[in-house]
Amino acid sequence: MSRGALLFAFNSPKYNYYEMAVVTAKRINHFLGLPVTLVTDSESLPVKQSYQFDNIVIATADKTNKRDWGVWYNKGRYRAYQFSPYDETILLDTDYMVNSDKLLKIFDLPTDFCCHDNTSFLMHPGAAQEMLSVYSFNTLWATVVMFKKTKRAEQIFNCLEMVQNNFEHYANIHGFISATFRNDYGLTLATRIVNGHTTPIEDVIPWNLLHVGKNTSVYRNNNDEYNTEYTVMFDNWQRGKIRKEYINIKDMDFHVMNKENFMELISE
Amino acid sequence: MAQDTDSTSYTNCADVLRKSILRVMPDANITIITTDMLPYGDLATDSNWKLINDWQVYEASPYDYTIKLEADMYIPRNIDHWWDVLKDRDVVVSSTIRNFKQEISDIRFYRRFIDDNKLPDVYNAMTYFKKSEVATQFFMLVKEIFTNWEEYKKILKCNPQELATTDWVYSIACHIMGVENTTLPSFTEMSMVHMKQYINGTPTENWTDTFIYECLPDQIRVQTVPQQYPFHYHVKNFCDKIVV
Repeated sequence: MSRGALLFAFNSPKYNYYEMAVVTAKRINHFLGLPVTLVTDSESLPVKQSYQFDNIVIATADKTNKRDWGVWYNKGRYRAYQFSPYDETILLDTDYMVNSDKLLKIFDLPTDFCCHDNTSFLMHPGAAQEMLSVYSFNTLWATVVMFKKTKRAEQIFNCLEMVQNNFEHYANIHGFISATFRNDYGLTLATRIVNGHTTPIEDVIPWNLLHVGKNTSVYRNNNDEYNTEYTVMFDNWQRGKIRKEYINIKDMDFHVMNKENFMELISE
Repeated sequence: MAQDTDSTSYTNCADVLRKSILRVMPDANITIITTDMLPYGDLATDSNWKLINDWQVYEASPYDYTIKLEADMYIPRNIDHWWDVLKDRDVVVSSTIRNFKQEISDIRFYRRFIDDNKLPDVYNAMTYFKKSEVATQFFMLVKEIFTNWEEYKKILKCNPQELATTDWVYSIACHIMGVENTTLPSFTEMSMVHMKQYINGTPTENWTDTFIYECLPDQIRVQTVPQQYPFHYHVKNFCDKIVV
């Protein structure tokens, strides 16, 4: 039985996702001891590669998704099932900072598919959970997904493709804006459809996904390649003034929503 | 109980409810109590406000153990296991409601009378009773409170025009009899999906105008969510859309 991680990285005009994937892959190797397969396109792949992935799958990026800051190449995540060479896979966003071996515990869960349904924001305790809309349910998160090669997991990814292709229809049903495709929403709908319009508790990772969100920046405490200590700075806006608040964290995995901050974190 | 009024055919709703029960519990015993079956007759012949007859359900029930349901409900799945929990009690009035997402609701919008008077938070729409001395007393109290509502209002914190609803009357009766004898709050399975506006956050009381619903032969889905608890649809003509 093989285990590994899968990363999708298609460079956009604004961000170098390949570079992010290399750093994340190294950390996966170091902290989780897992091989990493990269899904990318030939345009993103540099001529000279400083890091050897376990596998590289060359695919075509779907460039039809737009966001406020530009084109977002996030579509096609449903191909993860097809592209993963492993029996058991952790599918990660490239901007997920692995700082511990915690993700290995996911393989021990009694399920063939799981992801996060709850999030916490560093320095923003008690932030509301995101919902598809007020007339819908809480979002699942595609940031960290574990799947095994089973019929049900395959059905979920097939369904994700169907939802992606009919995103406007599902947006009409659930009352959210469909202008930008989000894998989080697609995955939420796909898992519910496959599971009889419910979310089985077994399909949920039993701890919160930790986000670094708005007005929050993370800084390395040292320049070690596998540093796990960070200072988190939060701009607390009060009565038109910013009060800087800080905490130090250690050995905690987190997802950096701000890509610029992630690029700063991984820069030499 | 199903007492037709000028505007609403509760017997039609009750018949749909009966079919929904038989779909999931084919051996269930069901009695629809219509106006002509009331042991003491219709006590509100000149009114559409028929709640004053509610206490007669106790005598009208032909069973030793009864679960009383409101007519405008749909039972989506087998609830036979409720009997295992309820059978040792004399009276249990449900005290939990859910929204269409199946989440337990804590919305207090419709419960001001209960909160102001610190009364038990009960919903008569699902009431279990066993033919017993305690249940006899309970329903005699219900009768007494309905009959003397004007007097009860004087000692309660409420609008002078407050009408005697079955929920208010049951709540007072539960308070007098003791919540420990009339409710089972930890048994949250005995709960219904209450399709009232503020419980579900819809812009109007008619949720069918806002929500996408699917009436299928084996289930009802609202905003794709399968309804797994007794579904109190509240909009009476919705019963014509239910497939049973």
